[in-house]
Amino acid sequence: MAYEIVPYALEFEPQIIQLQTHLWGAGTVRNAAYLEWKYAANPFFDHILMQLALCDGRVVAMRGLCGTQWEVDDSTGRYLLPYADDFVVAPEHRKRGPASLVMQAALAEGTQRGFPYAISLGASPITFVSSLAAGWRSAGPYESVWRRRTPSLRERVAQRIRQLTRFDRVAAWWRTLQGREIHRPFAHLDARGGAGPMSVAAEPRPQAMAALIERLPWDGRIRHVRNLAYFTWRFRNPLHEYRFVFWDDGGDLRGYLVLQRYLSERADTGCINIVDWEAAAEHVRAELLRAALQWGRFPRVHTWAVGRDDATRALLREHGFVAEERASVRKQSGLLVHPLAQTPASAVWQLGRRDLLRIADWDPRMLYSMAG
Amino acid sequence: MRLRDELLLFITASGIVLPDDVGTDTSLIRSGLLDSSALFELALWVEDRVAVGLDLTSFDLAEEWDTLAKLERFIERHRRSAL
Repeated sequence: MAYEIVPYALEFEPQIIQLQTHLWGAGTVRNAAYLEWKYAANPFFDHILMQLALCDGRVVAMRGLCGTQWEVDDSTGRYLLPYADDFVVAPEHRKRGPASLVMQAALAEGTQRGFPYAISLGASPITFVSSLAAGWRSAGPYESVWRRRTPSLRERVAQRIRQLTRFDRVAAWWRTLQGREIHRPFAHLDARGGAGPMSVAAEPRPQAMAALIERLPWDGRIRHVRNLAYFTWRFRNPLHEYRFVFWDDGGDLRGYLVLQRYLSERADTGCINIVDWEAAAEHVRAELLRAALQWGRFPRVHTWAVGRDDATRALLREHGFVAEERASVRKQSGLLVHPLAQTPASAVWQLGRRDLLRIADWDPRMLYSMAG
Repeated sequence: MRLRDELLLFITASGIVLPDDVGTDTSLIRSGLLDSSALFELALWVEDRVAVGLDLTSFDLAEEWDTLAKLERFIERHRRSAL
Protein backbone atom coordinates (compact mmCIF):
# COMPACT_ATOMS: atom_id res chain seq x y z
CA MET A 1 0.00 0.00 0.00
CA ALA A 2 1.19 3.51 -0.74
CA TYR A 3 1.18 6.02 2.08
CA GLU A 4 1.42 9.77 1.90
CA ILE A 5 2.89 11.45 4.99
CA VAL A 6 1.54 14.91 5.72
CA PRO A 7 1.66 17.30 8.69
CA TYR A 8 -1.43 17.99 10.79
CA ALA A 9 -4.04 20.22 9.21
CA LEU A 10 -7.39 21.26 10.62
CA GLU A 11 -9.26 19.53 7.78
CA PHE A 12 -8.02 16.12 9.04
CA GLU A 13 -9.20 16.62 12.60
CA PRO A 14 -12.47 14.61 12.36
CA GLN A 15 -10.51 11.68 10.95
CA ILE A 16 -7.79 11.99 13.61
CA ILE A 17 -10.46 11.91 16.32
CA GLN A 18 -11.97 8.82 14.75
CA LEU A 19 -8.53 7.18 14.54
CA GLN A 20 -7.86 7.97 18.19
CA THR A 21 -10.78 5.80 19.24
CA HIS A 22 -8.41 2.86 18.57
CA LEU A 23 -6.13 4.32 21.22
CA TRP A 24 -8.37 5.83 23.87
CA GLY A 25 -11.64 4.05 23.28
CA ALA A 26 -15.06 4.96 22.05
CA GLY A 27 -16.53 8.40 22.41
CA THR A 28 -15.55 10.93 19.81
CA VAL A 29 -16.59 13.82 22.09
CA ARG A 30 -14.02 12.85 24.68
CA ASN A 31 -11.39 12.19 22.00
CA ALA A 32 -12.06 15.58 20.44
CA ALA A 33 -11.70 17.24 23.85
CA TYR A 34 -8.45 15.36 24.42
CA LEU A 35 -7.00 16.51 21.10
CA GLU A 36 -8.02 20.09 21.81
CA TRP A 37 -6.57 20.02 25.34
CA LYS A 38 -3.29 18.36 24.54
CA TYR A 39 -2.31 20.08 21.32
CA ALA A 40 -4.39 23.21 20.68
CA ALA A 41 -4.54 24.42 24.30
CA ASN A 42 -0.97 23.35 25.11
CA PRO A 43 0.70 26.28 26.92
CA PHE A 44 4.18 25.57 25.54
CA PHE A 45 3.75 25.11 21.78
CA ASP A 46 1.81 27.51 19.62
CA HIS A 47 1.67 25.01 16.76
CA ILE A 48 0.54 21.38 16.51
CA LEU A 49 3.44 19.01 15.89
CA MET A 50 1.81 15.94 14.43
CA GLN A 51 2.37 13.81 11.35
CA LEU A 52 -0.25 11.72 9.60
CA ALA A 53 -0.16 8.84 7.16
CA LEU A 54 -2.82 8.95 4.48
CA CYS A 55 -3.93 6.03 2.37
CA ASP A 56 -6.29 6.89 -0.48
CA GLY A 57 -6.77 10.25 1.18
CA ARG A 58 -7.84 8.77 4.53
CA VAL A 59 -5.90 9.24 7.79
CA VAL A 60 -4.67 5.78 8.80
CA ALA A 61 -1.84 6.60 11.23
CA MET A 62 -0.74 9.49 13.42
CA ARG A 63 2.17 10.42 15.66
CA GLY A 64 1.80 13.47 17.86
CA LEU A 65 4.41 15.37 19.86
CA CYS A 66 3.07 17.86 22.37
CA GLY A 67 4.84 20.76 24.03
CA THR A 68 6.67 20.44 27.33
CA GLN A 69 9.03 22.81 29.14
CA TRP A 70 11.92 21.63 31.30
CA GLU A 71 14.27 23.35 33.68
CA VAL A 72 17.71 22.28 34.75
CA ASP A 73 20.65 23.48 36.92
CA ASP A 74 18.84 26.66 37.88
CA SER A 75 15.57 28.05 36.67
CA THR A 76 17.34 30.19 34.05
CA GLY A 77 18.05 27.06 32.02
CA ARG A 78 14.69 26.30 30.44
CA TYR A 79 14.11 24.17 27.36
CA LEU A 80 11.09 23.46 25.22
CA LEU A 81 11.06 19.82 24.19
CA PRO A 82 8.53 17.93 22.09
CA TYR A 83 7.04 15.03 24.02
CA ALA A 84 6.23 12.04 21.81
CA ASP A 85 3.01 10.43 22.87
CA ASP A 86 -0.07 9.65 20.82
CA PHE A 87 0.82 7.01 18.28
CA VAL A 88 -1.91 5.10 16.55
CA VAL A 89 -2.28 3.06 13.38
CA ALA A 90 -5.64 1.86 12.06
CA PRO A 91 -5.82 -1.93 12.65
CA GLU A 92 -6.00 -2.81 8.95
CA HIS A 93 -2.78 -0.87 8.31
CA ARG A 94 -0.67 -2.37 11.10
CA LYS A 95 2.46 -4.27 10.02
CA ARG A 96 2.32 -2.43 6.70
CA GLY A 97 4.87 0.28 7.40
CA PRO A 98 3.03 3.56 8.14
CA ALA A 99 4.03 3.45 11.83
CA SER A 100 7.73 3.98 11.19
CA LEU A 101 7.00 6.53 8.47
CA VAL A 102 4.93 8.82 10.74
CA MET A 103 7.41 8.40 13.57
CA GLN A 104 10.33 9.45 11.37
CA ALA A 105 8.36 12.34 9.91
CA ALA A 106 7.38 13.63 13.37
CA LEU A 107 11.02 13.63 14.48
CA ALA A 108 12.06 15.34 11.24
CA GLU A 109 9.52 18.07 11.90
CA GLY A 110 10.91 18.49 15.42
CA THR A 111 14.41 18.85 13.96
CA GLN A 112 13.18 21.36 11.42
CA ARG A 113 11.65 23.44 14.17
CA GLY A 114 14.98 23.57 15.99
CA PHE A 115 14.32 21.48 19.10
CA PRO A 116 17.42 19.80 20.54
CA TYR A 117 15.78 16.57 21.71
CA ALA A 118 12.47 14.78 21.80
CA ILE A 119 11.46 12.92 24.92
CA SER A 120 8.89 10.35 25.92
CA LEU A 121 7.91 9.36 29.44
CA GLY A 122 4.85 7.27 28.91
CA ALA A 123 5.50 4.93 26.00
CA SER A 124 3.34 1.83 25.98
CA PRO A 125 5.35 -1.42 25.80
CA ILE A 126 4.64 -1.60 22.04
CA THR A 127 5.85 1.93 21.41
CA PHE A 128 8.78 1.44 23.77
CA VAL A 129 10.15 -1.44 21.65
CA SER A 130 9.68 0.37 18.36
CA SER A 131 11.19 3.56 19.80
CA LEU A 132 14.35 1.71 20.83
CA ALA A 133 14.55 0.29 17.32
CA ALA A 134 14.16 3.79 15.89
CA GLY A 135 17.16 5.20 17.74
CA TRP A 136 15.57 6.39 20.98
CA ARG A 137 17.64 5.65 24.07
CA SER A 138 16.39 4.90 27.52
CA ALA A 139 17.56 6.86 30.56
CA GLY A 140 16.17 4.14 32.78
CA PRO A 141 13.01 2.64 34.23
CA TYR A 142 10.65 4.41 36.65
CA GLU A 143 10.87 1.88 39.48
CA SER A 144 7.15 1.35 39.73
CA VAL A 145 5.89 0.63 43.22
CA TRP A 146 2.44 -0.74 44.04
CA ARG A 147 0.29 -0.92 47.10
CA ARG A 148 -2.40 -3.58 47.00
CA ARG A 149 -4.76 -3.45 49.90
CA THR A 150 -5.93 -6.68 51.51
CA PRO A 151 -9.62 -7.07 50.64
CA SER A 152 -11.96 -5.97 53.43
CA LEU A 153 -14.47 -8.36 55.01
CA ARG A 154 -17.19 -6.91 52.78
CA GLU A 155 -15.10 -7.44 49.67
CA ARG A 156 -14.27 -11.00 50.68
CA VAL A 157 -17.96 -11.70 51.30
CA ALA A 158 -18.77 -10.19 47.91
CA GLN A 159 -16.21 -12.41 46.26
CA ARG A 160 -17.63 -15.48 47.97
CA ILE A 161 -21.19 -14.56 46.97
CA ARG A 162 -20.12 -14.10 43.38
CA GLN A 163 -18.85 -17.67 43.45
CA LEU A 164 -22.20 -18.98 44.66
CA THR A 165 -24.35 -18.87 41.56
CA ARG A 166 -27.51 -20.08 43.30
CA PHE A 167 -27.82 -16.73 45.12
CA ASP A 168 -28.32 -14.88 41.86
CA ARG A 169 -30.28 -11.94 43.24
CA VAL A 170 -27.96 -11.42 46.18
CA ALA A 171 -24.95 -11.68 43.88
CA ALA A 172 -26.45 -9.07 41.55
CA TRP A 173 -27.02 -6.72 44.47
CA TRP A 174 -23.40 -7.11 45.59
CA ARG A 175 -22.18 -6.56 42.06
CA THR A 176 -24.07 -3.30 41.93
CA LEU A 177 -22.55 -2.23 45.21
CA GLN A 178 -19.06 -3.16 44.05
CA GLY A 179 -19.68 -1.49 40.70
CA ARG A 180 -20.30 1.79 42.48
CA GLU A 181 -16.83 1.59 43.96
CA ILE A 182 -15.24 0.70 40.64
CA HIS A 183 -16.88 3.62 38.88
CA ARG A 184 -16.41 6.06 41.74
CA PRO A 185 -13.02 5.14 43.20
CA PHE A 186 -12.69 8.51 44.89
CA ALA A 187 -16.02 8.14 46.73
CA HIS A 188 -14.46 7.40 50.15
CA LEU A 189 -11.92 10.19 49.79
CA ASP A 190 -14.59 12.69 48.73
CA ALA A 191 -16.85 11.65 51.58
CA ARG A 192 -14.07 12.30 54.10
CA GLY A 193 -13.34 15.72 52.64
CA GLY A 194 -10.43 16.52 54.93
CA ALA A 195 -9.40 17.01 58.54
CA GLY A 196 -7.33 19.60 60.36
CA PRO A 197 -5.00 21.39 57.93
CA MET A 198 -5.75 18.89 55.17
CA SER A 199 -8.53 19.15 52.62
CA VAL A 200 -9.60 17.08 49.63
CA ALA A 201 -10.55 18.81 46.38
CA ALA A 202 -11.53 17.82 42.87
CA GLU A 203 -9.91 20.92 41.40
CA PRO A 204 -6.28 22.06 41.52
CA ARG A 205 -5.11 25.35 43.00
CA PRO A 206 -2.64 26.32 40.26
CA GLN A 207 -1.47 29.59 41.78
CA ALA A 208 -0.83 28.19 45.25
CA MET A 209 0.76 25.01 43.86
CA ALA A 210 3.10 26.96 41.59
CA ALA A 211 4.02 29.28 44.49
CA LEU A 212 4.85 26.26 46.65
CA ILE A 213 7.13 24.79 43.96
CA GLU A 214 8.83 28.18 43.71
CA ARG A 215 9.48 28.22 47.47
CA LEU A 216 10.74 24.65 47.78
CA PRO A 217 14.47 23.90 47.44
CA TRP A 218 15.56 22.15 44.23
CA ASP A 219 18.82 20.42 43.46
CA GLY A 220 18.93 21.31 39.76
CA ARG A 221 18.05 17.89 38.36
CA ILE A 222 15.99 17.95 35.17
CA ARG A 223 12.33 18.57 35.93
CA HIS A 224 9.26 19.91 34.22
CA VAL A 225 8.47 23.56 34.81
CA ARG A 226 5.53 23.59 37.19
CA ASN A 227 4.32 27.14 36.96
CA LEU A 228 0.85 28.70 36.90
CA ALA A 229 0.35 28.05 33.17
CA TYR A 230 1.33 24.40 33.55
CA PHE A 231 -0.84 23.67 36.57
CA THR A 232 -3.78 25.50 35.02
CA TRP A 233 -3.56 23.37 31.88
CA ARG A 234 -2.26 20.03 33.12
CA PHE A 235 -5.24 18.76 35.10
CA ARG A 236 -7.78 19.45 32.37
CA ASN A 237 -6.93 16.17 30.62
CA PRO A 238 -10.39 14.86 29.71
CA LEU A 239 -9.19 11.24 29.82
CA HIS A 240 -8.19 11.48 33.48
CA GLU A 241 -9.82 12.33 36.77
CA TYR A 242 -7.85 13.90 39.64
CA ARG A 243 -8.11 14.48 43.35
CA PHE A 244 -5.95 16.82 45.40
CA VAL A 245 -5.07 16.54 49.06
CA PHE A 246 -3.87 19.94 50.26
CA TRP A 247 -2.16 20.98 53.50
CA ASP A 248 -2.69 24.63 54.41
CA ASP A 249 -1.08 26.49 57.22
CA GLY A 250 -1.99 30.08 58.00
CA GLY A 251 -3.15 30.79 54.47
CA ASP A 252 -0.08 29.24 52.80
CA LEU A 253 -0.14 25.95 50.95
CA ARG A 254 2.49 23.77 52.64
CA GLY A 255 2.02 20.60 50.65
CA TYR A 256 -0.08 18.71 48.17
CA LEU A 257 -0.55 15.18 46.87
CA VAL A 258 -2.25 14.53 43.53
CA LEU A 259 -4.13 11.31 42.81
CA GLN A 260 -5.18 10.35 39.31
CA ARG A 261 -7.23 7.66 37.63
CA TYR A 262 -8.00 6.81 34.00
CA LEU A 263 -11.43 7.34 32.48
CA SER A 264 -10.79 5.53 29.18
CA GLU A 265 -12.29 2.05 29.12
CA ARG A 266 -9.07 0.90 27.44
CA ALA A 267 -7.02 1.82 30.51
CA ASP A 268 -6.91 0.33 33.99
CA THR A 269 -9.75 2.36 35.50
CA GLY A 270 -9.39 0.73 38.91
CA CYS A 271 -5.81 1.87 39.43
CA ILE A 272 -5.06 5.06 41.36
CA ASN A 273 -1.76 6.80 40.63
CA ILE A 274 0.07 9.24 42.88
CA VAL A 275 1.26 11.59 40.15
CA ASP A 276 2.69 14.49 42.14
CA TRP A 277 3.54 14.99 45.78
CA GLU A 278 5.34 17.95 47.31
CA ALA A 279 5.67 19.30 50.82
CA ALA A 280 7.53 21.96 52.73
CA ALA A 281 8.28 19.58 55.64
CA GLU A 282 8.69 15.86 56.14
CA HIS A 283 5.78 15.52 58.54
CA VAL A 284 3.51 17.24 56.00
CA ARG A 285 4.68 14.86 53.27
CA ALA A 286 4.07 11.85 55.52
CA GLU A 287 0.63 12.99 56.64
CA LEU A 288 -0.51 13.70 53.07
CA LEU A 289 0.31 10.14 52.07
CA ARG A 290 -1.23 8.63 55.17
CA ALA A 291 -4.43 10.62 54.74
CA ALA A 292 -4.79 9.88 51.02
CA LEU A 293 -4.39 6.14 51.54
CA GLN A 294 -6.41 5.87 54.72
CA TRP A 295 -9.28 8.06 53.58
CA GLY A 296 -9.33 6.76 50.00
CA ARG A 297 -9.30 3.02 50.84
CA PHE A 298 -8.11 2.33 47.28
CA PRO A 299 -7.63 -1.32 46.31
CA ARG A 300 -4.57 -0.53 44.17
CA VAL A 301 -2.26 2.48 44.24
CA HIS A 302 0.76 2.96 42.00
CA THR A 303 3.55 5.50 41.77
CA TRP A 304 7.12 5.95 40.59
CA ALA A 305 9.90 5.72 43.13
CA VAL A 306 12.63 6.83 40.76
CA GLY A 307 14.33 10.06 41.76
CA ARG A 308 12.80 10.01 45.24
CA ASP A 309 15.05 10.45 48.27
CA ASP A 310 15.62 7.72 50.86
CA ALA A 311 13.11 9.18 53.33
CA THR A 312 10.32 9.19 50.74
CA ARG A 313 11.14 5.66 49.63
CA ALA A 314 11.06 4.54 53.26
CA LEU A 315 7.69 6.25 53.68
CA LEU A 316 6.30 4.39 50.68
CA ARG A 317 7.60 1.09 52.05
CA GLU A 318 6.05 1.80 55.47
CA HIS A 319 2.70 2.21 53.77
CA GLY A 320 2.97 -1.11 51.99
CA PHE A 321 4.28 -0.08 48.58
CA VAL A 322 6.39 -2.80 47.02
CA ALA A 323 8.54 -2.73 43.91
CA GLU A 324 7.30 -4.40 40.79
CA GLU A 325 9.12 -7.60 39.89
CA ARG A 326 11.53 -7.48 36.99
CA ALA A 327 9.33 -6.52 34.07
CA SER A 328 8.88 -8.75 31.07
CA VAL A 329 8.91 -7.20 27.60
CA ARG A 330 5.13 -7.09 27.97
CA LYS A 331 5.48 -4.38 30.64
CA GLN A 332 8.75 -2.60 29.87
CA SER A 333 8.82 1.15 29.58
CA GLY A 334 11.01 4.01 30.66
CA LEU A 335 12.19 7.50 30.02
CA LEU A 336 13.19 7.83 26.36
CA VAL A 337 15.27 10.48 24.62
CA HIS A 338 15.97 11.10 20.93
CA PRO A 339 18.35 13.77 19.61
CA LEU A 340 16.89 16.06 16.99
CA ALA A 341 19.74 18.43 16.26
CA GLN A 342 22.91 17.16 14.60
CA THR A 343 24.10 15.31 17.70
CA PRO A 344 26.83 12.75 17.03
CA ALA A 345 25.87 9.32 18.34
CA SER A 346 29.00 9.33 20.49
CA ALA A 347 28.24 12.68 22.13
CA VAL A 348 26.80 12.97 25.64
CA TRP A 349 23.15 13.93 25.30
CA GLN A 350 22.92 16.87 27.66
CA LEU A 351 20.45 19.41 28.88
CA GLY A 352 22.37 22.15 30.67
CA ARG A 353 25.01 20.30 32.62
CA ARG A 354 22.89 17.19 33.10
CA ASP A 355 23.12 13.91 31.23
CA LEU A 356 19.76 13.08 29.65
CA LEU A 357 20.56 9.36 29.61
CA ARG A 358 21.37 9.20 33.30
CA ILE A 359 18.18 8.70 35.31
CA ALA A 360 19.91 10.12 38.41
CA ASP A 361 20.09 13.46 36.57
CA TRP A 362 16.30 13.57 36.36
CA ASP A 363 13.76 14.38 39.06
CA PRO A 364 10.80 12.60 37.43
CA ARG A 365 7.19 12.72 38.50
CA MET A 366 4.36 10.70 37.00
CA LEU A 367 2.70 14.02 36.30
CA TYR A 368 5.35 14.86 33.70
CA SER A 369 4.31 11.73 31.85
CA MET A 370 1.05 11.73 29.96
CA ALA A 371 0.30 8.51 31.85
CA GLY A 372 -0.22 10.65 34.92
CA MET B 1 13.14 -27.38 13.35
CA ARG B 2 16.11 -25.03 13.11
CA LEU B 3 15.89 -21.73 14.97
CA ARG B 4 16.08 -19.80 11.69
CA ASP B 5 13.12 -21.71 10.26
CA GLU B 6 11.16 -21.18 13.48
CA LEU B 7 11.88 -17.48 13.25
CA LEU B 8 10.83 -17.25 9.63
CA LEU B 9 7.70 -19.20 10.37
CA PHE B 10 6.85 -16.88 13.27
CA ILE B 11 7.38 -13.75 11.17
CA THR B 12 5.21 -14.93 8.30
CA ALA B 13 2.56 -16.38 10.63
CA SER B 14 2.23 -13.05 12.43
CA GLY B 15 1.10 -11.40 9.22
CA ILE B 16 4.25 -9.55 8.30
CA VAL B 17 4.61 -9.28 4.54
CA LEU B 18 8.20 -10.15 3.66
CA PRO B 19 9.68 -9.65 0.21
CA ASP B 20 9.96 -12.79 -1.94
CA ASP B 21 13.73 -12.59 -1.97
CA VAL B 22 14.10 -12.30 1.83
CA GLY B 23 17.43 -13.71 2.92
CA THR B 24 19.28 -14.15 6.17
CA ASP B 25 20.88 -10.72 5.71
CA THR B 26 17.79 -8.81 4.63
CA SER B 27 17.26 -5.77 6.85
CA LEU B 28 14.05 -6.15 8.83
CA ILE B 29 14.17 -3.17 11.17
CA ARG B 30 16.25 -0.44 9.53
CA SER B 31 14.39 -1.07 6.28
CA GLY B 32 11.07 -0.52 8.06
CA LEU B 33 9.77 -4.00 7.21
CA LEU B 34 8.86 -4.62 10.85
CA ASP B 35 6.67 -1.91 12.32
CA SER B 36 5.76 -1.28 15.96
CA SER B 37 3.24 -4.11 16.42
CA ALA B 38 5.43 -6.60 14.57
CA LEU B 39 8.50 -5.61 16.58
CA PHE B 40 6.63 -6.02 19.83
CA GLU B 41 5.45 -9.48 18.86
CA LEU B 42 9.00 -10.33 17.84
CA ALA B 43 10.30 -9.07 21.20
CA LEU B 44 7.83 -11.34 23.03
CA TRP B 45 8.86 -14.25 20.85
CA VAL B 46 12.56 -13.67 21.51
CA GLU B 47 11.92 -13.23 25.24
CA ASP B 48 10.14 -16.60 25.30
CA ARG B 49 13.26 -18.20 23.90
CA VAL B 50 15.81 -16.33 25.99
CA ALA B 51 14.60 -15.36 29.46
CA VAL B 52 11.71 -13.51 31.03
CA GLY B 53 12.80 -9.99 31.85
CA LEU B 54 14.99 -9.53 28.79
CA ASP B 55 16.21 -5.94 29.18
CA LEU B 56 15.56 -4.30 25.83
CA THR B 57 17.61 -1.25 26.78
CA SER B 58 20.80 -3.22 27.37
CA PHE B 59 21.66 -3.64 23.68
CA ASP B 60 21.22 -1.91 20.35
CA LEU B 61 17.97 -3.47 19.19
CA ALA B 62 18.06 -1.98 15.69
CA GLU B 63 21.53 -3.38 15.15
CA GLU B 64 21.31 -6.76 16.88
CA TRP B 65 17.88 -7.77 15.58
CA ASP B 66 18.06 -6.30 12.11
CA THR B 67 18.41 -9.53 10.13
CA LEU B 68 17.45 -13.15 10.55
CA ALA B 69 21.12 -14.08 10.93
CA LYS B 70 21.68 -11.46 13.63
CA LEU B 71 18.52 -12.45 15.48
CA GLU B 72 19.62 -16.05 15.44
CA ARG B 73 23.04 -15.12 16.83
CA PHE B 74 21.41 -12.95 19.51
CA ILE B 75 19.13 -15.75 20.71
CA GLU B 76 21.88 -18.35 20.74
CA ARG B 77 24.25 -16.05 22.62
CA HIS B 78 21.65 -15.23 25.27
CA ARG B 79 20.58 -18.83 25.62
CA ARG B 80 24.19 -19.80 26.26
CA SER B 81 24.69 -17.05 28.83
CA ALA B 82 21.52 -18.13 30.62
CA LEU B 83 22.85 -21.67 31.09
